[in-house]
Amino acid sequence: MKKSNRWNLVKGFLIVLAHILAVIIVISMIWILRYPGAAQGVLEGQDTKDYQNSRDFEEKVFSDSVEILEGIQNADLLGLNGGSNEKKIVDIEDYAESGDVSGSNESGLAYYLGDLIEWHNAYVQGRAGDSDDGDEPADPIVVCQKPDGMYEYFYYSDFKNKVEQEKLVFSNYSDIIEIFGKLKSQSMYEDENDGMIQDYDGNIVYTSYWSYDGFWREELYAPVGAENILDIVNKDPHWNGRLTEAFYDIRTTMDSLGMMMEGYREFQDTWEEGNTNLTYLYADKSEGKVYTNCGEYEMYAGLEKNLKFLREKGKYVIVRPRLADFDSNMDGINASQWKEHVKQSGVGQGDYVFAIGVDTSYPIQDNYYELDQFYQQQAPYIRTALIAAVLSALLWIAILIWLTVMAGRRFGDEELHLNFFDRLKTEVAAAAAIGAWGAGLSMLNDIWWIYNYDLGEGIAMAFAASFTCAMFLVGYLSLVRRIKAGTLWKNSLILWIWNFGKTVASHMRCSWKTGLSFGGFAVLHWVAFASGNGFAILIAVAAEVYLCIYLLQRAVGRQKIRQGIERIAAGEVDYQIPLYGLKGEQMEIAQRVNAIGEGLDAALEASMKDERLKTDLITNVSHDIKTPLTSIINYIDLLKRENFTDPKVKGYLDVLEAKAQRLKTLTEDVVEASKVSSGNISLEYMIIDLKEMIQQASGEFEEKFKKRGLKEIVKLPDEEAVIRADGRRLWRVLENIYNNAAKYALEGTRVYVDITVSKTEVFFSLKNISEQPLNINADELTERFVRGDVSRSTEGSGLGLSIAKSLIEMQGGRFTLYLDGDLFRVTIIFPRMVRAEQ
Amino acid sequence: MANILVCDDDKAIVEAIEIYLTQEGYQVTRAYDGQEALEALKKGPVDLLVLDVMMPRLDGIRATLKIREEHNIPIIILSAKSEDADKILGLNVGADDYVTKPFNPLELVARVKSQLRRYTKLGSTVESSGKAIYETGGLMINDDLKEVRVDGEPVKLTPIEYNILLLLMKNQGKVFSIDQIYENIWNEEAIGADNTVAVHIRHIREKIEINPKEPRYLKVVWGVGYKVEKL
Repeated sequence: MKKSNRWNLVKGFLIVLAHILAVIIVISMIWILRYPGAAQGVLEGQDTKDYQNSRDFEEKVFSDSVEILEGIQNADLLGLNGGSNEKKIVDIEDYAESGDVSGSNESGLAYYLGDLIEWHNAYVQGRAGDSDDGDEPADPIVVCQKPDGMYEYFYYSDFKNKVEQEKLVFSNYSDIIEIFGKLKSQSMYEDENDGMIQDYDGNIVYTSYWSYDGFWREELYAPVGAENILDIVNKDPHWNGRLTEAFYDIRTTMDSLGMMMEGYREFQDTWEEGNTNLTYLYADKSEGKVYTNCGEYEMYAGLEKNLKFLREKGKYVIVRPRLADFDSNMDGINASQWKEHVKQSGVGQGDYVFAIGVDTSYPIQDNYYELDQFYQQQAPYIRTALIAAVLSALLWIAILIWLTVMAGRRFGDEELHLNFFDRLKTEVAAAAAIGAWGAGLSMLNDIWWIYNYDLGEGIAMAFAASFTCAMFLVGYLSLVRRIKAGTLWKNSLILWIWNFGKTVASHMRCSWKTGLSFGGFAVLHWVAFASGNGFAILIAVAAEVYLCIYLLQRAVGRQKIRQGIERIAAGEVDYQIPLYGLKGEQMEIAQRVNAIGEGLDAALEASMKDERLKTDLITNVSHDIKTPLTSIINYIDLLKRENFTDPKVKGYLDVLEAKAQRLKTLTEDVVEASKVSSGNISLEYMIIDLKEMIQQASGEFEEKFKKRGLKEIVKLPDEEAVIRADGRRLWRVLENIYNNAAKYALEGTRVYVDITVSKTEVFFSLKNISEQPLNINADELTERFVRGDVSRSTEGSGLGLSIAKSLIEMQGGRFTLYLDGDLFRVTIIFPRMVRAEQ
Repeated sequence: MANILVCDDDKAIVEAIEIYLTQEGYQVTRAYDGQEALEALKKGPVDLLVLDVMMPRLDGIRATLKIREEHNIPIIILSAKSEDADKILGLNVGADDYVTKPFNPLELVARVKSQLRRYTKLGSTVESSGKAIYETGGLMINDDLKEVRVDGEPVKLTPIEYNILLLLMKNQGKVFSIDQIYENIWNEEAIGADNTVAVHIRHIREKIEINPKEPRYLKVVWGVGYKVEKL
């Protein structure tokens, strides 16, 4: 057999064993708990096969004695021992207050005991009405107030008779029928009439009358020495005006006595001779009275002899006032407990004997007989069951530990294996497992309380036990595997819902998200502060703290992103926003901005590299052109020195010379233009006085202008026109502009050169009238190199203005051309410097 | 007559230069790369070297460095490289002048002459006979004789031009603004908006410089003024 098979076999065996153990545990527990009294004795170390020697037996005798003593006391109270006490007088007030039957009429209101019990029985059987039960009296009570403030009560019928017989006369009434109607229906109120009642002779007997609306119970028996209760309350000054109280006291007394009587009847029935194996005997030595359920022991005279007989029957207890006289043959009995118990029952006053004997041959099939049978059936196996339960439980726990360790493992690999059940969502699986387990437990619970088992119930119990065990193992081991695999939380429904919510949230528009969160926050606050619930407010405050932290984090994040964007926008394209501490949307934005920055950086680098390559290429090509050009120029010059007389040849040579010169300028300008436009030159800044510079330039071009009859008109400001620029480059620009003027201005016109200053800027402008129509736009003149649209004009490269513009802009100035008809104007604007020493 | 070594890998250029220099009465030795130039120097006496930069085998810059180890003859570099950086490099390794291609043949000849004059005559002509002699490079002004010489050749200046040049020569390296020059020469306060001084300066340059656009002595400091370079 393969090792893995054996391993699986062991595992299967252990699982089956766990179920068997569970069944054993449950059945043992039931066996133990089925007779808790016996089990308690066994657990306390008592080891007996006989019920009469068990702890349970002693406890049962004790609890029976409680009942018996109560019964004896009640019998004594009701005077049911030794003849009839029906005529015993019960003072109602006394009994209601103290619970004693004194036998004399002290308060003025008393009934015979027999009447009260009968009355109670009648009430119980529904033959006596009671206002608390909603009964309407057939003959309601009328209350009249006498002029001296005392009250007089009448039954309605009696009252009506007296009026009809004119013994009583209403002094002031409107409708006698209505009055009687109201009195009959108990709806006449105290203040409803102001009518006096007179006697036949016209004396006022009552000042007012109304319906009695207090508690009432239909009067079936008359009090001792009176016709009815009204007699007492009318005549007895102690009771006058206290009819309600009287009725309450009557009710309390009769119900108490009635129930006591019923209890006694039951007691008598239970402990009647022939119904029980227990014999009790209570002797009141002071009165010479004996209470017993055994006919033979009734005679007080044979008390000691009777006690001796009682002792012989089996188990017995004899309690006397003195502890030393306590006598019993039961094991582990507590004498003082018994004595105290007899004394507190209220019976054991004075000198007495209280004895209980149980005939342990159980000739009568009573409680004792049944318990004896049950005990003999259960007790011998309790110890065994207990040991079995404990051992099974230990073994079961051991198997559980082994299964816990092995859960999810298979023989031969280190992987964790999950089954179908383990892949269910945690909560679903938990609900299923707990539900099934709960069902098993409730099944067990249903069977648990059955006392007498048959085979079917035993099987049901075993099934329920193994089912419960199985469900527990399924749920528990799945939990263990989930924990081991770390899927307890990962595979939970809550996480799933949370993730789903997050997905929904991430697809929600920003405004919706903000709105919903704020709504939730606001509602939480309203609810919390409206309810005033401390816990809710705590949560609301926690939410506030969270929100505060959240907003601060957001603010910090926003600042970071803002800073990053500003720096990138300012040209620091290799700047990266630090991503640390950013979350969610801001993280995303920051990453995108960084990506844009990287893209810009790459694009800029590529473009710079391209520019450099372009400049390098142009420079190299121009070097290569210059060498042959040198020869061309030199040999043209040599040819010219040959003194050709033919004017045609001279003309050709002039063309060659001009074109060679143009080629020379062109190569130089292309290199310069490419360098300038790619920013590939270094500038040497210095402080320059533009006024000085214009004078210098003017001097340089004086001759050229004169040659073409141009008059230069220079206008300089009084203030200094100081700028910061590279003098040589600026001269390159001015030279270019002046050259243009010298070449293209209409002969004999004026060239205006103006310098003006504002507070912050210096303006230079040169205006001239062009010889040729300016059918070109300003941008075309300055953007030539950039556009690759190189001039096709007759002289120069046409790149001059383009280079000039680039150079000025590099030095932080502005360069504009203005063309209007034949008017050509160049404007250069530089920021004005103020010399420190001035 | 002086022997001039012309070195360029373009034979046509060498030939053309030879024609001009021969016309001026110089003797010319040819070389077509740096290595040949070095060999030619070993073979016979050479008074001046015209040297191209971009050449096979040994380029002009390295050749200059090697030549300067043994010779102090004037070297004029002739190159298609016209960047400032190239010129500075050439002059720093020991060349005396730097001419960019394509060049004006007459200018080259003038520079050759100038370099030769300085090389052969300068030492003897400077007999500082009085205090009133100021000179820089090949430019000399003798205030006693009211005479100006460039590379020993006398130059004629108008009195105003002479006075301006004298002022600048007396204060070599110092930059004078137009107003300062005006006040010094005319002894009146400058009223500005006048190109008189600038025109005179240009005239002086045209007279004393080989290439007035790239002056060697009287330099324009754009936007500031003028100065005479202290060489």
